[in-house]
Amino acid sequence: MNPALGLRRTALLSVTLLSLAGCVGAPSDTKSLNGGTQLVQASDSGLVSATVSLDGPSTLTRGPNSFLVELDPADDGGADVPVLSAASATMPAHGHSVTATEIDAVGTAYRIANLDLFMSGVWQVDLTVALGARMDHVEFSLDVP
Amino acid sequence: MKYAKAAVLALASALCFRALPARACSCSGQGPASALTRPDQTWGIRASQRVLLGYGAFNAHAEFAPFAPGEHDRTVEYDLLAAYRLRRWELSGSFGYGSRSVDIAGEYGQGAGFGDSSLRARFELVDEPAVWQNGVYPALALLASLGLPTGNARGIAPRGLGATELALGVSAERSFARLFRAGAVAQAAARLPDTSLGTSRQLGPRASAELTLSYFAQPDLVLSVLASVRWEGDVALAGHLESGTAQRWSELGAAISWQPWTSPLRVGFAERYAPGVDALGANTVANATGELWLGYVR
Repeated sequence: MNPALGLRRTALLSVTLLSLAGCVGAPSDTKSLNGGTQLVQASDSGLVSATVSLDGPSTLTRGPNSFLVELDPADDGGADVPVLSAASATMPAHGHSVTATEIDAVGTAYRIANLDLFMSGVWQVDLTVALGARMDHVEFSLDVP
Repeated sequence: MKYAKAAVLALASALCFRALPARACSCSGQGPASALTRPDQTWGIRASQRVLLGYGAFNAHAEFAPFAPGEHDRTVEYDLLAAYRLRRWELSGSFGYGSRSVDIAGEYGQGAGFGDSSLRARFELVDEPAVWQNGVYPALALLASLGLPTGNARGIAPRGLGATELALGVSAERSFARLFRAGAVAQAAARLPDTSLGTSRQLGPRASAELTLSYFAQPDLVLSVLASVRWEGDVALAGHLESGTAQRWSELGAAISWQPWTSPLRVGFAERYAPGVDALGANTVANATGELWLGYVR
C-alpha cells in the first residue's frame, strides 16, 4: 500500500469521525429556569396547570435547587384543591434519579426544597399531583448547565 | 567450515525475518473489533481489569466542566471473555463484575455487582493480500453482537445500560510499510425498549467509530495509538422524545501488547483519555481509563 495513500485515507476518516462528533443537537424543548422566568406546564391528563419558578439562586445550577410550584385546577376541577404529593427528577440517558425529600405548603403554592440535580445535562422532572381522588402528573425537562 | 555455513545461514534467516512484514493478525489491535484468537488457534480466554476515573462532565450543550474538589466518579471492572474459533468465525462471550463510586454535588452513591454481558460473532470476510500478491485492499471482518442488561442501570452509580442492545459493525485492517498496521471499525447499534427507570424508556441508537495505528516494535510486541468517537441519539421516556439527551464521547488512547507467536500467553495495557475540551463530548462524564489484560489462547 502506498503510504501517502494510506495517510490520505486516514485523514479522510479522521475528518469523518470529527464530523460525527459534532452531531449532537442542543436541547430544543427543555427549560433553563432563572429568577426572571416561570415555566407553565399542563398535567398529563389535563387536571391541573403548574407554574414552576426557582426559589433561591437566580439561575438553575448543578446541585441542590429549590422550586416554587403553583397548581391551578382545570375548569372542571370543581371545589377540589390540587395537592403536590411528590416530586422526582430523572436523567433518562444515565439512569440517575432523585426524589424530593421536602415539600412544604407555602400559602397557595408548594416549595420543593433542595432537589439535587447533581449532574449537568437534561433532567426530566415529574410532579405527582392529587386533585380530590384523582391523580395526575406534571412533566417537564430542565436543562442543567 | 560447517559452523561458518550455519552462522551465515542463521544470519541470513534473521535478516530475512526482520525484513518481512510483521505477521499481523486481527488480534493485534486493542480496539473493540479485534479478535482474541489467530486463525491457527481454536480458543482463548482473557481476563481484564479496567479502571475509569472521571474528572469532569459535559453538559447538553457540549460544554465541559471539571469536577469540583471532593467530587469523583470511579469505577473498577473485572471482565472475563471466552472465545471459540470455527475457521473464519470467532464466537465470544463476556461478562464482568465491578464497583462504582460517585460523589457529585453532594449526592453519593456506591454499588458493586455484575456489569452488562455480551455475546459476539466475528466473521473474517476478506484477508488482506499476502506479501507476494498484488492489491491494496484491507482485511475485512463483520461483527454482530448482543448486549444483555445484566448490570444495575439506575441510581447514582449505575453500571449497566439497562437495555438489550443489538449491534452490527465492520472492521478493516491493513498492514503497510512493513511494520505498521492501520485499522478502522464502525459500529451501529439499536436498543430495545426497557423499563429500568420504572417507566417505559427507549434509548437512542448508537454509532461508533475507531481508528487504530499499530507499530510492531518487535514481532511479538505491538504499540498502538487510537482515536474513537461514539454517539447516542436522544432518549424517549414514556413515549416522549427528550430533546437534548443525546450523548457523545471522543477518546484518544495508546496501548502496548505482548503476544508471542510461540507462547499461548498474552499481556497488554491500554490507556484511554477523553479530553475535557468543549464540543468533544455531550451529556457524558469525561474519563481517564486504564485497562490491563492477560490472555491465554490455544
